Amino acid sequence: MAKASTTRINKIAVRMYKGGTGDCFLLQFKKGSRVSFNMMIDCGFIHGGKAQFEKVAGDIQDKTGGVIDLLVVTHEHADHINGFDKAKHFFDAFTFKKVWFAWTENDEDAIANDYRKNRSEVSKALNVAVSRLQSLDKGQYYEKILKDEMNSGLMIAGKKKFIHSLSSLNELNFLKASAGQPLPTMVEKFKEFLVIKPDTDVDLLEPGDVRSGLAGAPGIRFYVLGPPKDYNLLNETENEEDNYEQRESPSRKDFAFLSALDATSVTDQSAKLPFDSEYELDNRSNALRNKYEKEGDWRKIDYDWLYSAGSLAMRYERSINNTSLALAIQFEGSERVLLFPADAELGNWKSWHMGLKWPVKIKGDLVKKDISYLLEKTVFYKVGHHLSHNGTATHLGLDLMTSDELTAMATLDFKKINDGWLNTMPNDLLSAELLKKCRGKLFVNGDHLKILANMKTDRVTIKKTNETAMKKLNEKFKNEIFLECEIEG
Amino acid sequence: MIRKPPFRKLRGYAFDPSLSLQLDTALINDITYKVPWEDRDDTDPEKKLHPGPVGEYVEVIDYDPTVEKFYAPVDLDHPYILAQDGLTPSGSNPQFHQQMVYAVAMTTIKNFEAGLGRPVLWSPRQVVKEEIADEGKSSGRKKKSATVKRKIVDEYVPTLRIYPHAMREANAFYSPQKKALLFGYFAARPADITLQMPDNLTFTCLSHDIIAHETTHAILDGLHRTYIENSNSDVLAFHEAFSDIVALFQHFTFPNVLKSQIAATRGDLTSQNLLGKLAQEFGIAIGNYGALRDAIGTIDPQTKKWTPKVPTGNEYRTIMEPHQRGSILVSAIFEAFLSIYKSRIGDLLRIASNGSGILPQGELNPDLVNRLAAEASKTAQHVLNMCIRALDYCPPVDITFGDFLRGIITADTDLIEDDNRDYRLAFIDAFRKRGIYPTGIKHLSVDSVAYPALSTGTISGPIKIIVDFLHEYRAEIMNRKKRSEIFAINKKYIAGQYGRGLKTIYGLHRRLLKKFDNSFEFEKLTGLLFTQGANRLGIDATEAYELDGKDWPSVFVQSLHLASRVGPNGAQVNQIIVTLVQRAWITIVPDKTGYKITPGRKEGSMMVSGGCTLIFDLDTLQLKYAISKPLLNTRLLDEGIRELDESRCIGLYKHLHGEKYTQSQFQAYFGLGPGNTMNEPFHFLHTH
Repeated sequence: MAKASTTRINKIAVRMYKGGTGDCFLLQFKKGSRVSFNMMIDCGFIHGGKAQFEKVAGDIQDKTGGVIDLLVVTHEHADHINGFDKAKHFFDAFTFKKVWFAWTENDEDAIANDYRKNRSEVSKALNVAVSRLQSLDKGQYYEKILKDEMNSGLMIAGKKKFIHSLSSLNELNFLKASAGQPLPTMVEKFKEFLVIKPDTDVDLLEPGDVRSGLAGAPGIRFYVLGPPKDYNLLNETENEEDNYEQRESPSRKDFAFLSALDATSVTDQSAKLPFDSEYELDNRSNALRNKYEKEGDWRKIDYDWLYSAGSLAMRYERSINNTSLALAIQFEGSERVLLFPADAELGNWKSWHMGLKWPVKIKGDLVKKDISYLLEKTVFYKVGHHLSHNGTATHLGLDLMTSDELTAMATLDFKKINDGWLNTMPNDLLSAELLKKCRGKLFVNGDHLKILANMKTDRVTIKKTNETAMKKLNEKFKNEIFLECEIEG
Repeated sequence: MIRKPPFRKLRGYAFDPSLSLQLDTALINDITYKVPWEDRDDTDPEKKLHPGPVGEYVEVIDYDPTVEKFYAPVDLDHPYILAQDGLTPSGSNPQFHQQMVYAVAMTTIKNFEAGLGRPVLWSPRQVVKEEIADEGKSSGRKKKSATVKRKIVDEYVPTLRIYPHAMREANAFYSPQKKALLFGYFAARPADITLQMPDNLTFTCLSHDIIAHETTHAILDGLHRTYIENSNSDVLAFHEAFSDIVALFQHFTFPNVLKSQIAATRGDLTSQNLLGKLAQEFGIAIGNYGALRDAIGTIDPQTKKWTPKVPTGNEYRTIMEPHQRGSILVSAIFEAFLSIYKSRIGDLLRIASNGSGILPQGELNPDLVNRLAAEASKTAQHVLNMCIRALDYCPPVDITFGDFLRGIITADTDLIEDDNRDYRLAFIDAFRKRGIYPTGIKHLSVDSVAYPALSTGTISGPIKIIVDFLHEYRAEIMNRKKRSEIFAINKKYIAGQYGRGLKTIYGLHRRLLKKFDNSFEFEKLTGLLFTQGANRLGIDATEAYELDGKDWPSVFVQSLHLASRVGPNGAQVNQIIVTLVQRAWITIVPDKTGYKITPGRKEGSMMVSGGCTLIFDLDTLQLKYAISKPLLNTRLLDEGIRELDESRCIGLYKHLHGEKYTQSQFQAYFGLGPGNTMNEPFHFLHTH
């Protein structure tokens, strides 16, 4: 037994980097104490600066010699990929042997292209709406229009907060389309980043796929869980028991709003008009037009309609979270699993349970197993979407992770975070359940005391021993730019 | 001489365009609204009807900012339009949209006024005005040099503005900031394409229910401005519920709709029917399997079958989202309606069934349908009026469903001595089934739910003086029908009238502060501070008058109005209703033993509101009720101590704190926090 294990990988060191809310992981696969395979998952932080990423890249360089056997890029949000842009020259010197993306980045896949075309329209609409609102804000529009109101201070603050939150939500959308073009795929983008070079092996993975026997990683199997190849599932973002937003219907298209911002591919201008032109008021002076224009700016509605971009941006952000490449990594011998769902939301989690099976090697035989098995074997969990309420499914996820050796890592840092997320992360119910399950073995890449304080609300109870355990674990890495744990195979 | 017609007939949808596309409902969905005749040549310029339509109460401005286009305003006096009772219902003609919002908004306003007994006024716009103070009017003091003072002024808003095409979103809302209704339109995304054509443009301004709902938000805001402050889980839910209630009961005023539904349900309105459903097209267009809301049933998402909703008694404790929480109140009111209706038609059913109570198979006799419809319509009118009248008997701040129930029962008790049909019991029973109980009563009965009439003891002297003053107000307001005048008179009697060449009137505000200075008894009744010492309690000091010394508490007289009502047996009620609001700023920090409350306005402090509705009876010259949400601890007042009411402060803190869990992701992400309702609270509520 001891002999066999030396030829196989028997340990994975998971290193999570600090630098803001966002993911950057280095996984070192070891035979005994010798590293034989280096894997990176994402590299991005919200508001991440060049200096930060260079520190991180420097550490990865030290640990790996700049040779990455496998890079996994989970999805296109800035907090997962902006490091490759900001520290481009640094990563240019790296060698990435293999790069994995989700099937959504395949420009020869009909579903992916259709999905991208829609996303391109939404993305364009958001950019237009956001820049219009920002220019209102810059031009002191609200200060002017609300100056006489009794509560003008609060009213202006409210508008500014809305625009600010919307802007930062839109900053997550790292990919931008060039004029008249759909959004680029990430494969194109990573060529631009100089990560993908001519000899890099690019693989686009689909749910149900299995990769094993990778050079340097014997005894390790990679299972692809998501993203699902189903439009409705990609758009499904709500928790199963959460009914507050049940009216949030899947939007195949929001033509009315998108067309008003000239963001659709329809070029016929009349298509965006709700009525025939015969009903339009001509430009001559008219009592009603005068009433609107002259009788009080405070009653005008010139720009209020742009606020619709808020809910659109939220739906968009979450549907992109659902394009996350979700992976389970398994040690063949012990069957132990490391789960990396990136930022998958409900639709992605749900799809794993919809008839998918993966060939698992058990005592030398290939046996088809489903997601319940993988979740049951999970001993390491990269917490989905920064501890938000919708990043971890309960019935379809956490409830099924029953191992008493569970360790978890979450990327959440209040110092560098999207403003609006301050109100939604960490979710207290999820955090409390997670801390219980992993007995305090939860690493976070921000100030753990602050995060812990935010987990402890009056509707949850966190055991003292778990709290102490978490503090102790995180304290150890106080002066490092990373946190690390070793998962035994 | 040809007389002016009382009504203008305008065609429109009873529900929304989707029902005109279904064979079984098309016939009843096209109805003719009868709205009060507004004349283009009215001698009073405020009452003239202009193209838009722009009239006395509303102004429809059809500007679509998403494409920067104005649509030509409909001229309802065009002979062709007059000749055919308005434009033909059509989704593709924006002028019909204008006509539809006008017709429904006006119908809603008129129904409301019928219950309220006085004209509807929109909530005033509160602006800050700079004015030169201390000039001329100071008497006896030496003249100071002029200083610029910032003063909050209530500006009269004559018309509610209506934008039928304001945005491209599945949303419609009332903007308290703009005093306007904004209606959106959007491409339908039905869950099932057999229910509706996908991408079909859906206009919220063509739905009777949505227009009536939003109009009611505006009317309610005009009556109780503070009900948009999210101070407990019920307040915003109440706004939603009340708007739904008005929209629902309006269905019963459409005779053909009512008769068809009575016939279809064989008189049993507890089974699935159109009357209890709200916003059907909208519901389906955003991906539901049925109406947006239904007062008596739901569509099971699995079986797609309609099933009646049975209250469990837990709803009130567990459901917090304002629309869903509001639905609890709506279903309680609707159940009260159904019980009353059932008891009213008992005799008819016995007659029609030869005493067995079991109706024969087959279609109902049309005469029976007519009689049942008449009973349903009458009951609906009674129930709606009870709800509307109750608004005068509610506290001006921090309303709960329980307060509303007490308001309903008290108002009804005042007007109708003999409740021989047990209407009140029907209400209490329906509330009880949903776990809604008023606080502050020791046991549940009609008598205890109604507020007790006050005896004012030692302060009856000063109260008499106030009542005399209110008599003057009554004499002046009595026969005024012009809304702008009513507003001006109200303002004059609240704030007073001073100035060169005018008869000086000391306003109610000043009188209250003077007459009840240092009156523990009045403070106990109202729960508000009327004595020097505002700062210590975190209450803003008033600079309104030259009262002796400083540190007088500011109190807002939020409304003043006359209620003259005649009950069914001719009994008349003459009351003046005054609402007072007072605010304190506090900071609360939880500590080991509970909460530490520090009064005073500073960064991060929150505002707690106290308020009181005073109902004066002009016949007995007494203060009859003081319905209060106390700011002061009334128990300590007995001991001569003035302190804030801790339980209300803590209640507010806990609510705002708890909102963290119940607000939607959208609110959490884009909002300024649950305590701030300055930014289009209804837009936030409705956005999904």
